Amino acid sequence: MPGSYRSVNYSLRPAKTVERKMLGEAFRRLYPFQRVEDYRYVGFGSIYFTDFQLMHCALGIDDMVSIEKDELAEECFVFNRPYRSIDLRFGLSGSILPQLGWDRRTILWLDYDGKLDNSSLGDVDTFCARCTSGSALMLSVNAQPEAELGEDARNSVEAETGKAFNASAYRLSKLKELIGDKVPRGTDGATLRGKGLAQVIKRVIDNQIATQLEIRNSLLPRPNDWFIARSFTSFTEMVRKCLR
Amino acid sequence: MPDLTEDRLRIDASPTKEFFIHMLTRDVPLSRAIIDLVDNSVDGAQRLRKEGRYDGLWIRIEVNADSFAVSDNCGGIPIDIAKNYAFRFGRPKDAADSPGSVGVFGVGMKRTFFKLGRCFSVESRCRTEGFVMNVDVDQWILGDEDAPDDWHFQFDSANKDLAEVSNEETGTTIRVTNLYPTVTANFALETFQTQLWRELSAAHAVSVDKGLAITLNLLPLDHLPQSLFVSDAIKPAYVEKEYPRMQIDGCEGEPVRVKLYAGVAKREYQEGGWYIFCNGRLVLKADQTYLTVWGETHGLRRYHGELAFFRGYAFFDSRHSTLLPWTTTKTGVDTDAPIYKVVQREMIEMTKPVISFLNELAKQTSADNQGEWSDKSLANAITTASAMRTDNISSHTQFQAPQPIVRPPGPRMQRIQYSKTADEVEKAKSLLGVTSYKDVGERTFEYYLQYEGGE
Repeated sequence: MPGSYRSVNYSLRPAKTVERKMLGEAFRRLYPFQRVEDYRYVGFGSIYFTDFQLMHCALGIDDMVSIEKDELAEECFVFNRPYRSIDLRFGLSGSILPQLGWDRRTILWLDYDGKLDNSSLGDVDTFCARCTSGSALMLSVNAQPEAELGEDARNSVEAETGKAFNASAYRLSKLKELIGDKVPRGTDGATLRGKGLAQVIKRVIDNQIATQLEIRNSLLPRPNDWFIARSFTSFTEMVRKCLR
Repeated sequence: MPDLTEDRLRIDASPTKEFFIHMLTRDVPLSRAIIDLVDNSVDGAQRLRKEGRYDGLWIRIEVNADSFAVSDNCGGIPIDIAKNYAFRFGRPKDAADSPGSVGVFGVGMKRTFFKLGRCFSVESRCRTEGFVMNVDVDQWILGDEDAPDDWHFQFDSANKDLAEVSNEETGTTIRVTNLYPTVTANFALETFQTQLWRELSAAHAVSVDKGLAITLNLLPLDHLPQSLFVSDAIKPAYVEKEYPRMQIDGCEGEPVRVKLYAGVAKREYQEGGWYIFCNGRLVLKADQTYLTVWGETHGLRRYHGELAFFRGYAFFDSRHSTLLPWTTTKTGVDTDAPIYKVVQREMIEMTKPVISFLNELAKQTSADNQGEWSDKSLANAITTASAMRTDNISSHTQFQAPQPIVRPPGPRMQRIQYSKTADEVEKAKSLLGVTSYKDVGERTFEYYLQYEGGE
C-alpha cells in the first residue's frame, strides 16, 4: 500500500497544522525533566517532514530519527530531508524501533496511517520496555468505525459466517482481526460506531501500556522508581492539562 | 504419641506413608525421575568445582530390566546432610542453600526411589566420611511395632573419621532393586533408553560441555553445544543483565545473572525457537509458543517454517536456585515470575530484528524461485557464516545482518494468462521455434505489437 503522502500533501492541511503547533507547546512542558532541545524526536517524517520542522523550529531539537517504510523512494526522502541531523531509517517501525538506542529521553510520535493492530501495539511495547523516564509517546491511529456494507458485501459475509448479517457482530469481528485477544472483554459490537471505536481503542492502548509498565516495575526496587504513565483521553484534554 | 480416643476434639490429619508413595510418584514421568537423580550428582560436581570445568568427574547411569544405579565421583553426601536434610520430605527452612544448585525442591530423590522399586540403597564417600544405608520400602511402611508412623530411615554404617581420600575418590552410588513391573517393562525397551538418553543429553548439555562425563549404560551423552552463525555480515545479538536479589524477593544475597543470545543457525524447523537454561540445566527446548516470544500476545507472528533459522538462548544463573523462574519439575518456566516477565520482554525485543531479516530472506528466496531478480546477499550471508559457540561470543551487540538492496523498480509489469487448445499451442510453439509455453506467450505478444503497434 503506498504511503498516504502520495495522496495528501500534509503541509497543506490547516487543522493538522494547528494541531502540531499546540503539540509543540505541550511538549515544551517537559522541561522539568531536562532541556527540551536535548530530547530526541522519533517519528514517521513521511516525505514532507512537517513534524520534524516543528520539532526543530519550535523546540530546538536536533537529535531526530525518521522512520519510513517506503524504501523504494529512498532518494526522494534523502533529497527532501530538511536537516542533515535527521537520521533516516528505512523499514517498518516494528523492525526499526527495537534497534534504536533508548538511553536518552525521547518524544516518540507513532502516527500510523491505518487502524490499530498488533504490530502497532508491539511498537507500544517496545517503547514501554525501553524508554527512559521523562519520555513522551504520542499515538495516532485511524479510529473510523467500519463503513456500512453494501448488499453484495453483506451477502458475502453471510456466506462466510453461515449466519444472517449483523452489523454489530461484523464490527466486532473486524476489530478482532486487527487486535485479536486484546479486545477488552465485554466489548459490545453495537458500541463500535461513532466515537465508540475510538474509546475502545484508547482503552486497549492504555491496557497495553499498563501491562508493560507493570512488568517493568516488578523488578524495580521501590515504588519511587516505578514508571508511571500519564495519558489523556483527548487531544484537547492533553493540551489543556499541559498548558496550565 | 497422644491417645486419640481421649481427646475427642482432635482430628487426625496426618499424612500416611502410602499417600506419599502413591501420590508423589505420579507427579513425574519415569525419565524425569531419573534425571532428578542425575541433577543431584551434577550439583555435587558444581559444589566441587564451583565456577570451573568438570574434567575428570563422571556420572554413570545403569538402567536394566532388574536393577537401576546411578554412581558418581562428585563429592559424596556429608553424613550430617544425610542425617538431617537429604532424606526429609521437603526442604527444611534452615537447610543451607546449595549455591547454584539444580536440585532445589527437596523432593526429587525420595520420589525417584519410591517410583522405581521396593529396595534402595545409598552409599556415599566424602573425603573423611562415609555411610551406607539400605531401605526395604515394604518394611518401612509397616514401621516398628511400637512406632508405626515413624518416618525415619537407618544408616547401616556411618563413619566420620575415615582415612582422607582425594576429591576424585569421593562420590555417591545409588541403587534400586526389586523394580516395579511397569518400570521393568519400560527399562527393557530400547525406545525408552533412547528417549532417556536424548533427554539427558539435552538437559545437561551445558555440564557435558564443561567436561562432565555422563554415560547411560556405558554410552556417553551426545554433545550439543549451543551455537549461532557469525560472519562479517552477520552478528548475533548478545545481552547480559543482572538482577539484585533484593529486587526479586526482598532478601540480601547474590544476584541473578542472565545472558541472552539471539541470531540464526542451521535451518531446522524442530530446532528453531528459544532455549531457556537455569543454572546450566535446559528447561525449555526450542520453544515455538507463547511461553517465550511467539504469537500475537507478544506482538510477534507465530513461529513458522520461514523462521526455522532462528535460535535464541537464555541462560539464568544464580547461587540461589529458588530465584530462578522454573517449575518444580524443572521442565518448564514459571511464566508468572516477575524476573521471567522482564527477561521475556528483552527476549521479544531481541527477536524482532532477526525476524525482520528472516522475512526479507524469505521474500528474496521466493523471488529467486519465481525467476525474478533477487538480492542474493542475504542468502550468501548465511551460507558463508560459520557456527560459533555461544560461550565464545563475548561482545555485546545488536543483531546485525545485511539489509536487502532495493532494486529500483523497472516499468510496471502486467501478467497475462489464458488457455488455448493444446494443438494450437503446439503448432505455435513449433512455428516460433521456442521450447517453453512462457516463450510462446511472450513471443506471440511481441509479434502482435510489432506489426500492429507500429514499433
